[in-house]
Amino acid sequence: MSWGRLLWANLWRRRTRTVFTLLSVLSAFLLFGVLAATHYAFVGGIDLVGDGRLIAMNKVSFTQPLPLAYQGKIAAVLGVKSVGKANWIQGYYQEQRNFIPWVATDDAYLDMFEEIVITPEARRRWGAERTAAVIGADLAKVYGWKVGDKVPMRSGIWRNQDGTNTWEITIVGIYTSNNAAYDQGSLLTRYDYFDESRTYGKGSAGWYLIQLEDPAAGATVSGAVDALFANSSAQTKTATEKAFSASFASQIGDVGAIVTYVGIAVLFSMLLVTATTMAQAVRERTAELAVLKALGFDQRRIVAMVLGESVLVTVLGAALGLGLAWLLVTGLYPALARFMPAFKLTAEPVALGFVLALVLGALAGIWPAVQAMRLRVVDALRRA
Amino acid sequence: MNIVASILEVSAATRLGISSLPERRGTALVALAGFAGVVLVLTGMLSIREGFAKTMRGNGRADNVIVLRGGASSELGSGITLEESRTIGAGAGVAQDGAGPIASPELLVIMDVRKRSNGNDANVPLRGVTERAYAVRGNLRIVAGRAFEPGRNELVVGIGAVGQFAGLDVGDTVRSGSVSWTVVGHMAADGGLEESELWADAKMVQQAYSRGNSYQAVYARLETEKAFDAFKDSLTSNPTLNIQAQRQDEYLRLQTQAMNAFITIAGTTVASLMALGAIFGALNSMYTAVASRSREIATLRALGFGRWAVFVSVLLESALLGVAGGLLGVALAWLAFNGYEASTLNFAGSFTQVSFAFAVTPELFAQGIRWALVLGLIGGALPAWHAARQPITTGLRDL
Repeated sequence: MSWGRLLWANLWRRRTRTVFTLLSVLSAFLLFGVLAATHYAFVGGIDLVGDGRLIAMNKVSFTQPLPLAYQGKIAAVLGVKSVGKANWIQGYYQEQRNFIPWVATDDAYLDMFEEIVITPEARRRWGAERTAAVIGADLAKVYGWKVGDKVPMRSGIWRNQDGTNTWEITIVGIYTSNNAAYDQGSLLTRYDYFDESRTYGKGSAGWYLIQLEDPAAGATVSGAVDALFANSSAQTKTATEKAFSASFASQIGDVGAIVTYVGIAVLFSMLLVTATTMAQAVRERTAELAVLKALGFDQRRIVAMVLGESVLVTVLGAALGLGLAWLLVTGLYPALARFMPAFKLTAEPVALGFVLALVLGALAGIWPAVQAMRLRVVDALRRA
Repeated sequence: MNIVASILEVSAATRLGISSLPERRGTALVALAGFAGVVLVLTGMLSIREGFAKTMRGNGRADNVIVLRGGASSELGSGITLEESRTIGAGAGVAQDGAGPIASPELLVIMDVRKRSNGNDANVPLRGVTERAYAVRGNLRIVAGRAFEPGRNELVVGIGAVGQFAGLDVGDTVRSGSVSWTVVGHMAADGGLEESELWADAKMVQQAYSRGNSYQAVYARLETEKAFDAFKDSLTSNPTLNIQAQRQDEYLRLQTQAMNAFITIAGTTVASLMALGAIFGALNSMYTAVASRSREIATLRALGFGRWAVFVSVLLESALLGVAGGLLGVALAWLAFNGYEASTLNFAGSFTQVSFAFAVTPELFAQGIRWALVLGLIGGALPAWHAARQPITTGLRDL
């Protein structure tokens, strides 16, 4: 019998126990996979945001507006390709719980996002119609909106001159993205339509988006922009989009740390389960191991057999668990995409999972393997 | 068979099983650690929810109201003029004290302050208030320094914010835009939301952030809880006002809902997946127990012990392991997490940082033990059934 087949046969001699151990390891890695996807959604997804753009906002905080005149001044800074303005509207449809991320913005803003893909016809209508709106594909799906629909959209912050908090918008395009992790749940409308009909805050912008000539010049340009307004009443704070996303994500709390702690707790429990199983397996097989030794199996093969069995269990469990995690994450994605566009199980954690499975399998098997190695044939056979 | 005899039978069988636990300590400890791990993670995560809710809702009162502009989702999106705030203060049922109606017009500015834990800027609420704000809340205490003086750029900082953000000690200067604020005192509010806030004179805040003389909310104390409807009607029937009135406790409850649901779902999902692993660990442990005791069990049965006595005794042993693991888990969670101070963004409300302390409450304690007990019972049921069904002769043949 070859070594591999012996290993396999040994694994299944106590079928129930092996199945339970496998399932235990499987659940640990299923959880590991789901945690990794969550972690990526909160932390890792930030890497996907382009480095070629800067955000300039009021130094006090993002809720303080900036004068409209800044747009032209920023555009004149060396290294700036274009500048777009934006206003946060806190949109909702019919009822406040139907929250919709709504930004009033301009051509420059729309054009600098290569992540936002719309048809030329949609782009043309955006330029031609004051009430034009472009919505994300995920958002369109939720409410069943189509191009051409007129929708009364409400704001949790602003009021319209007509005495309501409602603006009627015309959907002229539904954007998709060339980057699967990019948010496709937002609503963009024209700044001029919004600004001329709002009752307060007229002639100001919430933030400016700056496209760089050279993505590497981010630090220089952001320094120059902030210096430009250092002595004015509305100072700016300018940084890359990535830096803003990272800073914003960190406001939620240290999600990364929580996920890591839970992960450690899970893997530690799994290590315990596998280690005891292996210890039991070796104890049961004392006589048999002695026979193998008596037959001339050398120490190394005995150790390899015990370690091999342990690693086989953890790697097999990891493969099944991560596979299941992938199915689960993929299955849940459509429901979660609007809130966590980067909820994905990527290759990195899968690879890490297998490395961990190898390490844990080895750790769990090491002590039983040493015991098996130390076993003296005479003692073992007498005990049996 | 009478009940006393049954109890004696089960307890004898259980004691016998437990007396052999030390011989099987390896697998028993794994089962125990598995249960403890599940309960630790569950309790730890839910303690975030409890702590957050305690801070958010702690000071909410049914006889306090918050008035915002109609259609505003929170204070941040609201706006109320000085004129309107006076009309609101004169609404029906507003309580009075020596200084007039207990109604406090307030405005909220989000200010970027550096968080201690990661050095990043975070949204901190700067609340512009008048003297009336203390009267509406009723439980604010200055615990260091003094209150701000009207007409000066002075701040009083909640003790929660002091712990979470850098540079907020008494005497420190906080620069925000073109204005410098001096911290003159620290305040406490029985662990409530105010402890996460920075307070300053409303006039100075309006001036510093070009808010004219507008406010964003009016907080008011009602004579009684029941006065709410009359108060609301008196305002909504006024054609010059476009406002919405909510009870403060209800307003805060709604803001806590989303976070509550999120942590509950995340915590129970993670714990359930871990529980799966723990159940398989327990199954292993109890099957080992049953296998190593097969002779003993067969002997018991030969002596006249019933199948169900064997079944119950194995199940009880597993349940006992469960409860022990659960106790260990909640104890660890309490040691590790209770009182741990953190802050997070209040998405549903002011969009600012709320400082709170994780809270392992008695309810979480009970819930943790309940989970562990159920896991122990699930892990023990199948092995117990097998033990009870094993023919006596098979067990004795091993002898």
